[in-house]
Amino acid sequence: MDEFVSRMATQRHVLNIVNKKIVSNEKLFGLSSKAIDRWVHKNHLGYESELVQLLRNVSSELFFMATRSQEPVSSEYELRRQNIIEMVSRLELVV
Amino acid sequence: MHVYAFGSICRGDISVESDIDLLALVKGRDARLDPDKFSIYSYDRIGELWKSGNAFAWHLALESKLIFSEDGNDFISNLGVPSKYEHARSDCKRFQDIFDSAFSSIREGTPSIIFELSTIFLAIRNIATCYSLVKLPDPTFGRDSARRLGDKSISLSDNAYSTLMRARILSTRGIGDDISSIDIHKLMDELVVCRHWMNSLYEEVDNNG
Repeated sequence: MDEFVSRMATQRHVLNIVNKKIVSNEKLFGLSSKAIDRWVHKNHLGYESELVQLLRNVSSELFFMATRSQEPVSSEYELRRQNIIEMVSRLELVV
Repeated sequence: MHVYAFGSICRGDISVESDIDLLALVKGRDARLDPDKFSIYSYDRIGELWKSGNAFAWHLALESKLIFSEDGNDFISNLGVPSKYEHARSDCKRFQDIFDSAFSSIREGTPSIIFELSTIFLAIRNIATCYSLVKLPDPTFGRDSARRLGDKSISLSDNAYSTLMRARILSTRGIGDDISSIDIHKLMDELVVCRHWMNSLYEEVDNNG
């Protein structure tokens, strides 16, 4: 699977975890920081909660990878990919 | 560092929904740059995109304007014309696949409908750009690209197109009213037509070799 499609699949997976399990006034529409901000605001969530922090971190890693997705695979890139996997696992426990 | 504006603001295609696309070219990391505000690329990476004739390179070559240059040079202009765009077939196939995965998710009752509609909009917009790069004398970029293909333009109703675009803006910029289930329901039949349209673009590109 190419990196672009893979990142999209990760976004879909994360959004589905959150939107399936959390009863909210409004669903989470995306993993951009602005979409997360909107969701936090609309649902009166704590900006410092573990869930919100995890979402922000996944978002940050995905967007970092987006602009560097086709650069030669580096150990840092692999580390970030691993970070995402771990954060998504943690997210599944938190929601 | 070099900073460019690109996209709708350079086309003069401005509306209240427009945002300003900014590209920053950097060496290594630059902590001053907010990735929410800039597309951040290394000089090497941009050079690679030029060499491979990537669609984004063509977008920048045709629709970007220098805003700031640390060294007084226009880096992008100095790169000249990108290599010929040769990826139309694989890119169009990729966007068809992306459309299909989003459409399947919707049919299966996804809890993330806005994201899926946003993904469909991305697939439609991008396949139109890829098609235009090989089939039209003037390639078309941006949110209306699928409606700027002459007789190959998408035949979605204005309402349906607007619903998809609203989903894209909600998903990326977090702006706008949520989309009602009535609007989504109305859209579903049109998405089938939309998939046929994508296929017709792909077939034309594919037949072209």
